[in-house]
Amino acid sequence: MKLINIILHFLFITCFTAAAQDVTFTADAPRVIEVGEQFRLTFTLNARPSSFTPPDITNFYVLSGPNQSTSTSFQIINGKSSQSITISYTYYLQATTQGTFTIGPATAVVDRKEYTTDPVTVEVVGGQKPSPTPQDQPAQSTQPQELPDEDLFVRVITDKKSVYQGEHIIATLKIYTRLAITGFGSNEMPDFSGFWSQDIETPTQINLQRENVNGVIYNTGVIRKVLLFPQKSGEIIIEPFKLETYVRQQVSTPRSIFDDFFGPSYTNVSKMLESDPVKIIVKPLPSGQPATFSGAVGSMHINASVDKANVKTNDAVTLKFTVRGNGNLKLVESPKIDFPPDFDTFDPKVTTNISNTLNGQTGSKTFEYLLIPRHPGNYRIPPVMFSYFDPAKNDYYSLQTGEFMMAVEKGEEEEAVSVVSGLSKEDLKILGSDILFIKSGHFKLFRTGKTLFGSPAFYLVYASSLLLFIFIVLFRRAHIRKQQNIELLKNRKASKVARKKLRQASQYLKQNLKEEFYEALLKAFWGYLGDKLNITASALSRDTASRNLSSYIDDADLINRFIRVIDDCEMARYSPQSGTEQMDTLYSEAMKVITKMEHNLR
Amino acid sequence: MKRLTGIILLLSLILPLIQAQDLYDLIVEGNDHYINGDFESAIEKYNAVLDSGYQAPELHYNLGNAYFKSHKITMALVEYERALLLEPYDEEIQHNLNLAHQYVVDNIEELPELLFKKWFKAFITILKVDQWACISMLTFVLSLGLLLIYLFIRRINLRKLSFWLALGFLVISITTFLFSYEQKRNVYNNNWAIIFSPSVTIKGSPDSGGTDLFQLHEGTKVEIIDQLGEWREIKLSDGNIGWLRNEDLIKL
Repeated sequence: MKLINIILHFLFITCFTAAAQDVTFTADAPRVIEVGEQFRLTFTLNARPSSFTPPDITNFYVLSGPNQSTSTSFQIINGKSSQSITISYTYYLQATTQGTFTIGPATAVVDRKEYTTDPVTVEVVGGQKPSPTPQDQPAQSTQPQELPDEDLFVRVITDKKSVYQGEHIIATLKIYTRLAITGFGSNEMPDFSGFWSQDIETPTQINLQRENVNGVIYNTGVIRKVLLFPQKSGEIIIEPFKLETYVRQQVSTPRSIFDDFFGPSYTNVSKMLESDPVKIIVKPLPSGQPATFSGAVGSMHINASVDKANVKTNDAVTLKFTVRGNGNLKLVESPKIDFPPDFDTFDPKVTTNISNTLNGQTGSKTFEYLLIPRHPGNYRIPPVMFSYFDPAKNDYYSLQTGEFMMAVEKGEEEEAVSVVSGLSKEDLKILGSDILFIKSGHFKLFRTGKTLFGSPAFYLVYASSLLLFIFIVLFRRAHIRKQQNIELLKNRKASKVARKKLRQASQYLKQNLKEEFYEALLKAFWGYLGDKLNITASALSRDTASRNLSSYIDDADLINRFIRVIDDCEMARYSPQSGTEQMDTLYSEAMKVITKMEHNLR
Repeated sequence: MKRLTGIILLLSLILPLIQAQDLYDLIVEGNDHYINGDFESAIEKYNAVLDSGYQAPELHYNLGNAYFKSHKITMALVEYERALLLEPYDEEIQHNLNLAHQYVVDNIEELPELLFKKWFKAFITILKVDQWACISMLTFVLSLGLLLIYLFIRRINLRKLSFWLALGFLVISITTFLFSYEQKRNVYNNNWAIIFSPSVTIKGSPDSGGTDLFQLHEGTKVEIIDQLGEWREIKLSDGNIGWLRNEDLIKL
């Protein structure tokens, strides 16, 4: 909807601006006249002016004018109405003196804008017989007269006689007449072999114009205008051009009253006209052509553009390359561009906007390259090179556009899949296999075959550590033996002393000496402990005993039993009601504990 | 007298250093030759270092590259194999060795090794000879130390612990000692060889008149299992066994 709006607006604006700009203001007068001849000078304007200022007409005698005439036309096409208006100011002038005169510009103001005509140049030819008119033609015989060559001929006129290969020539086929032409018959156009020819548009209606040829006024008409591009060097001859022309000629009949009444009778006479051949010298292009030269001759400039610089993969990008200028544009070939190989490229679409004018071929030729990047990355499109030969400066010119950097991003994955179904993963292109490079960094050398293993030092470590171990063990043993000799003695005596004390206790038991019995039993226990554990008697207590014992013996039950015997002894010693059977059990228990202890503490 | 021995000791320490410095210069020269494309000169320099009794896996690798570049594929294979023995897990060496292998004519299918053997080999090559040796030494000393603790400490728990630890370390010490021994044998006393003659006929007995068994071409790796004078009994990786002359082989 928005788009339509914009288009409508655009059309609207262009219509109006076109209407406003379409004011044309022209002056029209014959180019050649004779002295004393009357002629018309017309200024034509297609809008209603607010003011019109005619030029000063000094060299001519003004018979009448300006006569204003207005014509309006109103058109309805498909319900759209358009209006056009033509206002013309006409002067009737008479030439009085011989020479070339210029009639200055006329000025008109339309919508507060000033428009002027181009100055008109009029050549006045004098001192000659009046141009032959059919009326004045003497008509002596009924037979059609042989038409004189100087009254009617055709010519091929070229603007240049010597050109470079590829440079354009304008060839004009013209008819010159001083007779009344009624029409043309068959014609034979030259085939312009050796040229590449392009017609320049001319009005289909041949307008005769007056022209001064060697002081004689002819009516001339342009039959055809051709742009010629020589395709080879050397002399090229343009073949003659033939044209059958019909000329009206008065036929004299025996005079009758009808003659006076109806006027003289005429007949059409045909004549085959033939032009002279024209020789063109075509020079070859000078040497030293640039590498990129492909035959373009003229004056050109180039332009290249990319529609997007940031694209996603599989999006189309257009690179537009335009050659603009004047020359043999149609023969310009598409330039070779080295696109990145990851791009899919297509043949360029060529659009030409060329008009054949009197200045040669002008316009532009555009090459549109469609590119589709297939992989993401940053790419560079190299500059486009183009070169041409300028015949006016007689030199080659090389042009180049800027290069293009293109950032291709990864496109939507799904899109890529749906758009290009055949897109497959590419294998790593192995260009060739080679060994990896040498290790050039610093590395450590070592002696061949010399390892720690098997070396004397290696075995020495084992041997020395083992020796040291044995030495330490032996030394320690000896030291311990020395230091513990007394303890050892005590230790060995401990059981003996204990047994002696126990034996004494058993004697007390037999004598039923309660107190002595318990005392002997306790002494035996404490003494045993002190000797065995190497503890002085003063440091002995129930706690130290159990703690020391537990570090030597794992059997907690035995320790408990040992302690309990001591506890029972201490308790029974001061309790009155302990009997002999209790002493008996305690004694046997003490004997068992001591023997077991002797077993464990060895 | 004492002073003299001191000087000798000092010299014996410094001299190898000076010599080593010269060798490194030789290596750098060899590398430069290699970079400049003068492979023959590079080979000369590298070999000079090896002849002086020093080596390194990188040196063998570089020499192999130089041989490869001068189209001596067999020698390149030998050097790569030697480098790989010293540095079994180097990817660059492995890559170049594989590439050089493509030029070997004989295509011998390898017999699958026992899984246990494979694991053992893989495990043993994790560390180098001296690394195993160091571990063995350390654990041995440690186990002795622990034994001392066991002998002279009266605390029951500590004694127990130290005893078992000492035993464990002793076992580790012995096994790593064996590993080290095995590794050293692998590197310096291995039985691997590479066929050097472009084409050699393997005989059924150590005698020129022996039965022709099969044909081998240069670059093929074989294992020497026995020898008799000039003759060597070889075993291929596919299990085939035969005899050939010593001059047709290059030991790794």
